[in-house]
Amino acid sequence: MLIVTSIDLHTESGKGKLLLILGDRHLLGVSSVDGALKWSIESKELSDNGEMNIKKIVQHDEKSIYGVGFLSLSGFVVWDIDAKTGHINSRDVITHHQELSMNDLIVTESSVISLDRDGKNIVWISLNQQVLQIASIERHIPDGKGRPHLMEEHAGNIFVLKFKNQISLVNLGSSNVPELIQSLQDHSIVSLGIALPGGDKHALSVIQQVSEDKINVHIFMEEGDKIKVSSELVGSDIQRGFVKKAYLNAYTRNDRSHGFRVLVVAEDSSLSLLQQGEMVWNREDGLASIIEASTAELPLEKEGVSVARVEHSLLEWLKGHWLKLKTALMVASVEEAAAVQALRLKSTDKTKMSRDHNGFRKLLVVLTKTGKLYTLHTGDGRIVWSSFISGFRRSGGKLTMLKLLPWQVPHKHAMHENPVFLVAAKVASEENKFGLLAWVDAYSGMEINSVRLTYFIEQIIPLPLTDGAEQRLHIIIDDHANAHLFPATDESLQIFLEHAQSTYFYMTDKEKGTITGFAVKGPQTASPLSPSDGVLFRSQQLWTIMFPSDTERIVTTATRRVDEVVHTQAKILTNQDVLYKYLNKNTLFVATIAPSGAEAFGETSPEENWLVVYIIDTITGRILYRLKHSGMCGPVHAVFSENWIVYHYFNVRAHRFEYSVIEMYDRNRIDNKNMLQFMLGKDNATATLSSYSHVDLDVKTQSYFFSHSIKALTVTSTARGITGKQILVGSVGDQILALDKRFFDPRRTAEPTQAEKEDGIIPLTDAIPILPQFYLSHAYRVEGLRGIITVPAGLESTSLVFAYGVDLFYTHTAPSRIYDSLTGEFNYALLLITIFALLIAIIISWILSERKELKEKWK
Amino acid sequence: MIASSPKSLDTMFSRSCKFLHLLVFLSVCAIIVSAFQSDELQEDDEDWGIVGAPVTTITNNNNNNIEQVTARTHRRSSQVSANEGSSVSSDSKVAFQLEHSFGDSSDFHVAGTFTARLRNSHHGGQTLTKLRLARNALTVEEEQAFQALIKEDGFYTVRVPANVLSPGQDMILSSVKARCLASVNLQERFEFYMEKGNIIAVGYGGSDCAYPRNLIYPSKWSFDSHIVMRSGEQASRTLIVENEAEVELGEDGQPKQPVEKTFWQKYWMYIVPLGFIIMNVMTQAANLPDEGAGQTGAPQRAASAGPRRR
Repeated sequence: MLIVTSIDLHTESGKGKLLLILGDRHLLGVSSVDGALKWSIESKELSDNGEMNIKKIVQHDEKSIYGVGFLSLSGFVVWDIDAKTGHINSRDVITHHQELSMNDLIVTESSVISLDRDGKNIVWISLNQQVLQIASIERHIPDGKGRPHLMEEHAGNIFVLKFKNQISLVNLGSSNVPELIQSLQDHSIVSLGIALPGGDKHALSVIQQVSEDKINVHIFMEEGDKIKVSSELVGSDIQRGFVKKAYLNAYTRNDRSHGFRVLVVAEDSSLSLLQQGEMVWNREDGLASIIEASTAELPLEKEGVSVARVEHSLLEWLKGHWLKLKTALMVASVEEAAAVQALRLKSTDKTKMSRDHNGFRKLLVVLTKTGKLYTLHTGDGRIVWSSFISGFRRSGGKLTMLKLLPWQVPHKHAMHENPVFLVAAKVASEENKFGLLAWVDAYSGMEINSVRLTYFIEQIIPLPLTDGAEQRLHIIIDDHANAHLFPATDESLQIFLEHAQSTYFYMTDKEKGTITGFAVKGPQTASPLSPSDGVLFRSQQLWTIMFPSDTERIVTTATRRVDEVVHTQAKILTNQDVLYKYLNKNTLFVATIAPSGAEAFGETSPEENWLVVYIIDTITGRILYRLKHSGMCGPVHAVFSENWIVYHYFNVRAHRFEYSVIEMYDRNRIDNKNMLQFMLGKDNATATLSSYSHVDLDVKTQSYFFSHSIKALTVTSTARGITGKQILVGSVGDQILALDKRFFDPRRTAEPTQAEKEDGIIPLTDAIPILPQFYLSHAYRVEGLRGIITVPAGLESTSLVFAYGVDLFYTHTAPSRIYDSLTGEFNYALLLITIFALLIAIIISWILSERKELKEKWK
Repeated sequence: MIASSPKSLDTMFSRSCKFLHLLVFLSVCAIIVSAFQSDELQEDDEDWGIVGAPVTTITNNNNNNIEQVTARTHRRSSQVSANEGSSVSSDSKVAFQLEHSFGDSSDFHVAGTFTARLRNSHHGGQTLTKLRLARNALTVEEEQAFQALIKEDGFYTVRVPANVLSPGQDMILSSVKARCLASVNLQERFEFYMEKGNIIAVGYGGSDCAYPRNLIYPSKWSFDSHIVMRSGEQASRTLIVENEAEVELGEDGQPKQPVEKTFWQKYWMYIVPLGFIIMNVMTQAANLPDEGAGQTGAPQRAASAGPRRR
């Protein structure tokens, strides 16, 4: 463990800072100017047993520092060290007849404070007098319950004792008697103490959560021997949760007195600045920790609602025009100009809160690590609502967010229902572990329901079934491989029972290197409806795949998207041949690497590295294909779509990154190879397939070099799956690259024939090129990029792309260009003029020809 | 394997012609096996016994081979040789059990024994070849359980140890719908994916299984096993000269975004007919005043119109 503190040091060359680094074996003095090591003290110089006994370092004066530690269990040791040379000036030992608590030690301005082992007494020495003193806690703080602990936070001579039910601020002033300043109950957070500019004043703040939506900011300022206490009540947003951390800052008020502001970090990781009893600003920094993202459709534009809106906006409309006029005449103030800008943005269709025809406007629902849901509008990225799921709070134990799943999507007859999302989390504490579920309305952020499950969630599987209210059926797999059906209603149970015979699932254990397949077995109990726990189904283990731990380690798995739409099952070549895509949805891609490949980079030779990829049928557990790449190592990123997989890894031998592509075609269906039959529908494309029937795969592969390491890999998705695909790459430079899938075609050859060229085959190249146009993020960087999701727009040509990390980025992409709508640059005026001119020309020429004909006839 | 064959060729070259024949055959077999990455089928039962060589010579040869194997493994690692000591008999045969269960994944019984020969691969580590299965005949209870499974369309599950050299707790499971086996008269097919003596997965099933699965009982209650061993493919790469690639890159159209079309390129289809019409109108308009002016233009027109009238 390293403790770094800095002290002011006056040298010949002027003022500078000395960094003191306290490690297990050394205390180092490092100059902050040039990083040079000024001096170092070894632990054996300090004590006989060679252990580092210094626990705290504090500046004494300009020339010396104090190192403070314990002497075995019953005393303090204070070393006086020369700050310039590191020479130990003196070593003082003050012993006590009782044992001290080794975990409680703070060094304030003038004293070293600790507690005795039972926490009954405060034990301290004054650094100047070096006399040990004792005071009973019970006598000075009578209302403290339980064993107290010293908190690290202190200011001047004020220190804080934390009891079970409260915190108590104590002043150990010149009177040398601990004085209780104030005890605070409820949830209280203490900020680090600060020294006020110009003088020996110190201050400390305590943020006390009075109620869900009110916090009390206490400031304790030490002025000489006096303690000034001030409190301000500030309103807080329930949706931000409790205060987690506070940072105090001081400024000089107009009347030259000290003013204080507190920067507060809330439970949802948002930042707020409190000053003068108000929240000055806040930032939703929780959005930097998105773990899951999804989209919801906006509500339909309702007729009848708009009237009131028009009336309301009439005044605004006039006001807007007045403002616009002012800006045009250059008489508007800065605020008014900003207002006009905001109005302009508002008036565009982009930011409307209703569904558009092209499906570009959507709500982005994101789940953050802290368990807060945010909804962002794709038009301008504003937060529509945010909600802290109350069912998840104070669940006890370590809360881990798992999934955000669309539970109810307005559709067909349930068109006017609000979309609902299911949020899943798991809690693991020492006593027990369990799952949590919450259902949240996507339009209002209202928590419809939340349940605490009696079991742990291993996996949530959305089923391709919905009930009458368009609620999607889900099964939750617990840690005993039991399946629990949600929603737990009679209706959904009936629907599920029809398909229970053919419901399978699999579980991947990366640590053990196994993948295990299960089949769901009928409902367990006769009266199984328990709305909070789902309908219990047992499972039967069907298959196991075990990767030998000494040769292979699972690094990545990939499956097709559940909602992926495939337009055509076959690929028709120019020579009228048909290749049938292998489109089994129960296909899993697994990549394993050599265990040695996980070691530090460059420590293993190419011979010790390999990457093995598998294509596995998850119903039967059959390995359909296995491919070994020698001399390759991770990290591996993979994306699986339709009948192909693209994966990225590092080639140790060539010292370059590489992409490989696997395309799977079904040879079984090659009998009806005739395109005519296929067009007439006389093929077996619609026949029910069994996973137990024989599979004959025709696998085509190819590898390409790529110049970058990558952070994320995904593929565009469109409404009907007709449009070509782009592979979206989150580059190491936090940018998003859109690479055409055609670059990854395994059929690429160095010199394609005319027929192949007609198929759109690009001549084979050694590497995937990166051209400036490929950058979907243009010049922007999505700082700390972690994931990219794609959502189909209403227009077939367009796919919506949302990338998240510390920054958020949203854009559209059209892999095959926008072929189904006119671009914005299209010149409508010219088209109209042309049509108009043509019409006139037709009329004139008609009149002229009539005239001419008439004249001819007169001749 | 390839490395070992020429070596043995050297030592045996002075021996009889029969030996030579046999060895040539063996090495060809070995090369084929290694080239196809041991896609060895069960049907080769007789292959090892033919070529007219006496049986004794083959076993001798095998024994030589085995000695080599054990000697090498001793050098490589003590762990492997210890493993071998426990399960590999002196003729380097490996045997492990096949267990099955009828619908209950906790209740497994021995169903047969796999026997295989252990071989050294030139990469180090061992590979299994000649994998055979000796199935135990189904007992009456098992037959009944199987019938019940067929009736309820349940799963027939088999399992083998994950490590065949030193069978431990880890098991590889595989299941198939009992009706799939019944419909093909208990013709079962094992597809082993192996890596250095470890079984990664077993694909188990009937030769084919159409949906819907009809209720058919097999005509006989004895299994007909078919075993396939696979180890997957080795990735290869088509390498091409890089500068060629750069030249060709520009031609394909995709990486190059098309140049912004000019006004003319965009709207020529409107402008050209418009131009024609305007020209037409112009000539018409030019003709009209001519006619209006009187006789001056008439002779020319008459001259030009003349041939048409005639």
